[in-house]
Amino acid sequence: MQNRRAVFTGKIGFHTHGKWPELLTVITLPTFLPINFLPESKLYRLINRLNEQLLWKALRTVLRRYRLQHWVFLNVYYPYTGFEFPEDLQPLLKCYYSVDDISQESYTAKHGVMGEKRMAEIYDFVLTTSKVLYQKMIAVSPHAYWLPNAADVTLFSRAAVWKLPRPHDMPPSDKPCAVYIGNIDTARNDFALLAELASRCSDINIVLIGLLTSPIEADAVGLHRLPNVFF
Amino acid sequence: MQDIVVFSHSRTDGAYSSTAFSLAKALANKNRAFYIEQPLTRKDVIS
Repeated sequence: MQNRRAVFTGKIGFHTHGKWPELLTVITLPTFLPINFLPESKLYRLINRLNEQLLWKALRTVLRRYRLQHWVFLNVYYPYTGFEFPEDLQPLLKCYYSVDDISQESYTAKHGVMGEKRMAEIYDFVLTTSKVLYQKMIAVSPHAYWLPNAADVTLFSRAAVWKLPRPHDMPPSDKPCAVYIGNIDTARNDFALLAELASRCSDINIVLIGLLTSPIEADAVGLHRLPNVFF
Repeated sequence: MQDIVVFSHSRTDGAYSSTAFSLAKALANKNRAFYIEQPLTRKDVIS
């Protein structure tokens, strides 16, 4: 929330944290003008250029404040801003990282599909998290590479190696258990289908582990009231 | 040591965990990394 308050000041925020690596600085931009509702048009591009000026201003401040001379720019899945870099802001390399299929959600697809294609064309290379995304990007950029997401193997292999205590809020082990781990929201889950599944399959417990970010929608289909659904 | 600027679609104080921020933290173990958070609109901040 500290970062969110900082954007109201209109200034570029710089943040470090004891839990982060010493060499990491987080930068908060002043608020952008909301333009996603606009269709692709001269007006959209004009206002987008105003937003882009805030990114350039932040980069200039970073370069000056930390005395950067030779730097690499990595755009992770924000293909709306950061196209034509000004002459005084030329990184050694520009990389675009495609982490999801931007065409699958209407909000991101609206300007993201075209922005991603343009970015792939003008950036030096493109990274993708999946082979499907790689196939999409290699059609646009000859320098596309597949870089799958990594995992902390030491952390995730503990359950296979150690005998861990059963979490106290897990349901009793008298029934088979279907577990979902992730954000519990309507973008990733069909709550009505899940409720129907839980009703028809009362012989299994359904355990949803994660942050419930669509509580109203979950409640609307009665997920909380089903005896074999656990949050 | 390389200087790397990451411009991301996600924020450090967001509801969702972020692979982009995890990547920035990993890069910052051996490089100077600058993580520019996803820009917000005033509407985003209020809501």
